[in-house]
Amino acid sequence: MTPSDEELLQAFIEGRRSTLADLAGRYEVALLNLSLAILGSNDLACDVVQETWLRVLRFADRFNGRSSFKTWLYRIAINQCRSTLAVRKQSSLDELKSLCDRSTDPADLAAHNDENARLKRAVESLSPPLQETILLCYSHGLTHAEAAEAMDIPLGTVKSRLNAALEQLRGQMKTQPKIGEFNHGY
Amino acid sequence: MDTNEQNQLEVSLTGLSWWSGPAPGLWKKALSLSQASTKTKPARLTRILRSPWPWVGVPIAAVIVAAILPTSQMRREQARNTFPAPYIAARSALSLAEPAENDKPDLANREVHYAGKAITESSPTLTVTQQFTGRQVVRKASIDLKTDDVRGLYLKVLKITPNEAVGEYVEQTQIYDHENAPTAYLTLRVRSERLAEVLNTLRGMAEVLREETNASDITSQVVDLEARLRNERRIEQELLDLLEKRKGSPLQDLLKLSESLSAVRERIEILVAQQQQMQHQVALATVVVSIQRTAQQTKIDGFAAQLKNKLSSAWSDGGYYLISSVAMLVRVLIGGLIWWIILCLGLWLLHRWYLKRADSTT
Repeated sequence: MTPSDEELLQAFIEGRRSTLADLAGRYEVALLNLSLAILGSNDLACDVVQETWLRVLRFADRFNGRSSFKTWLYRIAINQCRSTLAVRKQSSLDELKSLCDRSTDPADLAAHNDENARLKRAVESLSPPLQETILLCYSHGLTHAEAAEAMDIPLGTVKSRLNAALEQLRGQMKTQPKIGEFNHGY
Repeated sequence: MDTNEQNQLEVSLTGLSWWSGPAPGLWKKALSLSQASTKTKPARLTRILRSPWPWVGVPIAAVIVAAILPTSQMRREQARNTFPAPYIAARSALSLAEPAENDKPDLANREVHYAGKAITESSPTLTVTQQFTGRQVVRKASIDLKTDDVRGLYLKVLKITPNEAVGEYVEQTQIYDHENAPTAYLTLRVRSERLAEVLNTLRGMAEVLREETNASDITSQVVDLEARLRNERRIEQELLDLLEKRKGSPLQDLLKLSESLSAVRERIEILVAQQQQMQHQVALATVVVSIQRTAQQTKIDGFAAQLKNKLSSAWSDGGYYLISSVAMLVRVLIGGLIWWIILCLGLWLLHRWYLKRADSTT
């Protein structure tokens, strides 16, 4: 029988350090996905995820079971992403840097025209609150209640943000040009 | 956009992924960093501090202890005092302090007036004379009566004793009902020669539980007082004669004489007041009467009766303690309401700050 996240955490607190590897195996990639989508930089995403694990290790004994481990973990990650965004303040230099991070290989450019790529760009263009909501509820499979707890907002706000985000995404998917098309059109 | 497109969008969102590649094992770095900077923290203490119970439980416990302790102490003291204060005061008034050694009159070479006659010789003759004529005695008596009708007897005693026509009076009375056991106390002042008659009358009214009489001979004090008074009056007369003879003397001398005369007169007044008080004490005897109700007899046999009485007493005492404790609790809570509110508000704010701090670090 697969142990639950809470059981693994409790075992870790009691001294069985190896259980942390099981938890990391379940959530590290998901956290990297979330952080990369919000921050747009691999380095920053790795920093955020490492900091998230550090906080889990430091405050594991304070986890009181009021929420699930999953929402607690995502809450830490969301807070870390917000802190990082606030510190960096998305300067023009950073924006350039993030653009440079993206590949300019023609094969990759071709890949960017893919529907998924367009959708990713549309999600990245959302404001941070809408972005977080869409990512948590769809990409990471959290329920509305779990997402509300992770973002520390009321359930109603989650639903309204989801509606707004989907509306914006629909609009952008219709109007967003493909990269090749824009260049050629000019 | 129609439903199909909506569903397609949602499905596409579900499948989105930004990170490509395996997990880089960031948790290992975090673990090694954490182990490097591990501080020993008392997790249990943190849990206790995060819990609201210590912040609420300690003040409540303090209030309960503060309410119960004074109540139990009061009750213990009350149990010790089995007689009411007026009765104790009346009983203590029966004893009269004996005059100290140095207060005894120096009869040698002194002109003493006693019982209106001048006595020029010192102690042996005077002592013989004192033994048989004009002795000054202060008489006191106390009598405890038992009856079924306390109030009725109390009224009877009031009616038949002090004869105000001869200067007798009722000095003090008290009647009260404690735990369905009425008790009455009276302090009577009757003429000394009528003391025996009054005691006889009281004995005839109800069953006597206890009787006590006390007589203090204050003859020597009276003799001494009269001697001093006589001397002061002689000094007064001498000063008056001196003033009459020395009318032509300087003003300063006359003023000094006048001052001395004032001082002597003041002493005379004090002595006269003391003399009158002693005469009053001698003239009127004090009778302290206490009236109690006859104890109710039960028809239940020994052990069972005792058990029943003890349990009944314990029940009523317990109820009394409980009511007293609740009353004290209410007094403490309401009296200190403002402070309790401030204290609770402070603790609540502290608790919230602590929780927020803990949450913000995560």
